[in-house]
Amino acid sequence: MNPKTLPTPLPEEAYAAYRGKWVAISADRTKIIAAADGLDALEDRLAAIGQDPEKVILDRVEDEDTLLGGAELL
Amino acid sequence: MLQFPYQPVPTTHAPPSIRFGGLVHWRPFVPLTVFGAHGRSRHFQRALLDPGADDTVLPMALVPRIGISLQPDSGHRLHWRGQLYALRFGDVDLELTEGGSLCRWTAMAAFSDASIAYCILGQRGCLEFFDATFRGAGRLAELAPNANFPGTIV
Repeated sequence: MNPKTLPTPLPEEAYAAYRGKWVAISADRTKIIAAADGLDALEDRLAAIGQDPEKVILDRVEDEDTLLGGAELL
Repeated sequence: MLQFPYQPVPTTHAPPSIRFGGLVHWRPFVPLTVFGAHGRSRHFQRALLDPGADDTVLPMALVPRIGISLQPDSGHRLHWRGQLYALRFGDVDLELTEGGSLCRWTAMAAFSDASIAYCILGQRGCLEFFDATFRGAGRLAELAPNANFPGTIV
């Protein structure tokens, strides 16, 4: 799967209910098919619903206004 | 050369420093695929190009899921939101694609349990292999593999 060549990403509104969570987006980018607080839990959820984690797109939805700074990663 | 338009992240509480582009943070995200053992992989919609990060940092949760072998704990730590988190290192393949172009290489990445919102593509493991240009006015990140690039370019 090549995420860059997939259709237009979901609109921002689609993520509103998933603030602070990891989400799995369908390969055709039309819907969010699972969400969880952590990536590990999301993988478990995908397994539970029979979804191959290699065939979805993973993303994290920010839960607050965060100003990113690389200095913390030094 | 790979070109990635910055992506908007909406904000509900804009700092006064935002002058252009509306109530959003514009960030140089790229779609990233991480490969572990036996070709097992995960696709991430957004990884952050971060020249200020010394290392490439990925979620620790990936390690068992795609079969990454970690090196013994080297004692290195990541500082995130006031806390220190262990960093463990291991080899992965990373792949960036844009349009019809693809770059894939083997990198030693750091893995952490810190709740960083995105995979971080820092100097080691990623940006050291590219000549990167961040075009502020055009909100565009350009990555051209350099002479140190250790992988495959298609």
